[in-house]
Amino acid sequence: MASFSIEAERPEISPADLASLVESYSALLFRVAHSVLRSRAEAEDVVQEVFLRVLHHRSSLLHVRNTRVWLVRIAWNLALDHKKRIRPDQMDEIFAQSLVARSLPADEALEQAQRMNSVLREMERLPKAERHVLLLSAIEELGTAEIADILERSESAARALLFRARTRLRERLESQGGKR
Amino acid sequence: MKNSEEAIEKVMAGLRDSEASPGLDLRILAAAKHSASAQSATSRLPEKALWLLTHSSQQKAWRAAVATAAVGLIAAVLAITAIHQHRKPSTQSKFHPDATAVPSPAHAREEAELLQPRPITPASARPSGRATRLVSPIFPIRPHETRNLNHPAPEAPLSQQEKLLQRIAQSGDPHALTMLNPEIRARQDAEDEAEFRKFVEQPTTGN
Repeated sequence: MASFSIEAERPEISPADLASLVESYSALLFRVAHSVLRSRAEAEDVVQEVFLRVLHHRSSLLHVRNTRVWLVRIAWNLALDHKKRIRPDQMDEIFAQSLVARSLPADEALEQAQRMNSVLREMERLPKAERHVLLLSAIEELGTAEIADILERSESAARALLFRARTRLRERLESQGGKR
Repeated sequence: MKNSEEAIEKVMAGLRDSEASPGLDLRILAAAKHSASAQSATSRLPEKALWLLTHSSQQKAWRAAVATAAVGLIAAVLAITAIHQHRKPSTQSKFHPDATAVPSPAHAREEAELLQPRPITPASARPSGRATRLVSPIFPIRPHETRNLNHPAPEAPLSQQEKLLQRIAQSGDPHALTMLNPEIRARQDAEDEAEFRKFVEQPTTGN
């Protein structure tokens, strides 16, 4: 949770500073992007783009209070932007298959993959604010306060949204199971 | 209930545990380095332009003189070229690329015929040689030849004196032809005058 601070006297980022930023935040930013895109390649592209933007707009780093939240917000917005250009359904299918244990028999593995896929599909059908809070809550490193900061909401609002998202998702999945 | 919760937790765990492929950090740093070098190269361009501008302002007079001389030289070359092309027959360089080459014997003979003076015949008596020439299989028309044949300007109409001379020459009257020579004509006039004077001055006392 250590946040990276840049001295106000230094107008430019040195290669060492950039390497330190990448080392500290690339994994977190990858998970943030992956939670939205569910594609490893796309998420890596987003992370790379985040750091390139940091490099191009290095002067604005001087005015950043919380580098961690700032970077996550950039990654989050870029990932949402990337999602408009890809087919999320296809990505969800592949990701759902990757979640299933390989030791399972084929029929059980197929059923589980379908179940995971339906969860992802229902997550996408949630209201936007609830979905965003739910996706960010999946990332262990981010607490509720930081999620609220990233989404520019109050902490209580973020907590309420997360509660509603999980309840709604569970209800929808149960209703789906009941219909079967 | 339990199944749904488990499925949600499993998906959330999958999102939480996702990891990038190894070497992502190195790839990012390499891309950043490449981007930074490209950016610095781009940012140096305005500086170079500024330096050139300031440097050139110091030598403004010298550069203006050089530029004026260059413009003058180009204008002179263009003018000479234009005059040269104006004097040159248009059929040679422009339309007939091999005009400078040695003509073939048949071509040379044809041109010699064209350049030879021909007896003047009345227009009505002239055969329509041009028309027959156009369709003659012996002399197939080639584009460059037609251009060459068309090159000499059409003959100007004869003046009144020329027409008179032509008529005299065609009639074949030896006296008229002789009278065309000014010396003979002057001598003849002198003889006529002397004969007239002799006749006038003859003494009439005998009659």
